[in-house]
Amino acid sequence: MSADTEPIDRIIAEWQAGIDREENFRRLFERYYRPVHRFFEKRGFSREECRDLTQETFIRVYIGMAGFRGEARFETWLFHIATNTYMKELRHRSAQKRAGHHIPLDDSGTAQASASEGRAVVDPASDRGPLDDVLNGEQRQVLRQAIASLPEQMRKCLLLRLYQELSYKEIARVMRLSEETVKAHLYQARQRLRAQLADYFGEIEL
Amino acid sequence: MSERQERFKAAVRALMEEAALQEDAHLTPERLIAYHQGELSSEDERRVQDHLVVCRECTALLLDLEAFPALDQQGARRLSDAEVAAAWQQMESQIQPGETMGFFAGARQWFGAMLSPARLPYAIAASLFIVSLALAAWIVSLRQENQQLMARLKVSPAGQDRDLASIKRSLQEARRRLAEAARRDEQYQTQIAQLQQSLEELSQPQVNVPIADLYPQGFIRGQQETIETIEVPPGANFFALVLNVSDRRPYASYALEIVDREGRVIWRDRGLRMSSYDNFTLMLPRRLFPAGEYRIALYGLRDGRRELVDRYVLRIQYQ
Repeated sequence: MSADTEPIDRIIAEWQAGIDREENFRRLFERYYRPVHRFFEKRGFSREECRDLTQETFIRVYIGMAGFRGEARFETWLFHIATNTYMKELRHRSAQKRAGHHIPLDDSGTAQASASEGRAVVDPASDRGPLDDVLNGEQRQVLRQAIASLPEQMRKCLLLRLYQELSYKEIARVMRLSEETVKAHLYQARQRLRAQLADYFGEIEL
Repeated sequence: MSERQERFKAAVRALMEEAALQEDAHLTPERLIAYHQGELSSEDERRVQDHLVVCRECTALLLDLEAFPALDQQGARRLSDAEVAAAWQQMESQIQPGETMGFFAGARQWFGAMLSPARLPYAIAASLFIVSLALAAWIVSLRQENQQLMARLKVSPAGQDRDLASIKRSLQEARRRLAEAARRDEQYQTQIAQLQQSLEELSQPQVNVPIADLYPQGFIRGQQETIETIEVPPGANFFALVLNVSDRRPYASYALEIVDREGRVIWRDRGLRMSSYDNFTLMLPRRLFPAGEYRIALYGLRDGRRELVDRYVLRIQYQ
């Protein structure tokens, strides 16, 4: 039986019973190294960073294996550990950035620094937000009202489509709905928004 | 795409960025997984969705969780076998020193398992068996010593009379130690026999096991603390408790703790799941719970926090 088809429960049970630990752990490693590596790759880490973070994830798996009780699927547990490793890395980077970053007393450098991090800049002294740069007061009001008037699930499907540009399939997964339901919601949303916003934005496509 | 359509999309994005700024934290991995597995209440589920709509990061994590472990089949170049093998070599060198830790962890786990109520008699029996073997070896060595002394006594000429008294004393001491070892061996053999009998009793099927249906304190509005009493007949080595739960809010898992009247923890366990009848059934061994009053606390575990769900009070009487 190859490492890819051998039941994962058996590999873990043997490892936990102390049977051929290195070999059993190698099987887990070879089976899951690629998806964990890809998980970090997708989050924009360099090749070396991906390798180190994947390594760290598997070391955590090795340390935690004795306590793994099989309440969740192994894959879910592994994903949990990879996510924790990722979040720990983010916290670490954020702490480093804070420690090494000079924050000027006047606001001359703030906008530049924030923009370089790809974050929206909000001036706490003003009520202006990103929307104010795109629409005037009346348009803002009408758009907010039109979106708020949509039923909750429909509104969420619409925003996932427009803001996050997800496919129907992805929206269905995120919302735990069927793809057909998502299509129906988006069709309805388009009809309703057209009726309310045609004067401002013309034909609305989703 | 028309300019108006572009403007509409830009406006929605700007609207969402405003909303995103008000989100102060990402979802924890535990919460994300609980949502993915449909373990959240509908209210909680809505809150998670509210966050997902404005948070690209958490949405991406959720989609990856959905796709995991087939993630490596998406897009990017698949790592070669050689790259994975090289990574394993590096990994192998890092976990080798950890084997010692793994051994201790394994030993801890083994001792933990052996000290569990169900296996404790086996553990004691095994220990006594080992002690008994050691004593038997000691007895054999004393006998050999004794025989050597007797042989020396037989061959000793009259001129060695001065040694005789000391040899006799040694002989007496050896006999005394032999008798002491034999007496201890007999004691251990008796204890082993008693434990074997207990094991046989515990291995027998139990008929009409007493069952107590426990309702949490405060389950009936206005009622003061009630103590359920369970009467265990002489032949019953086990009895069962059904813990009915008043709080139906789902938790990722539960923990139980039983303490005696003096507040000593008699037993606890975590990572428990509620049965499909919204209760927990506990099979408790008689030998672990002497007659008396016990308090049982049921905790719900969520996001790494422990919340008290229900309390039960029980009195055990043996007939």
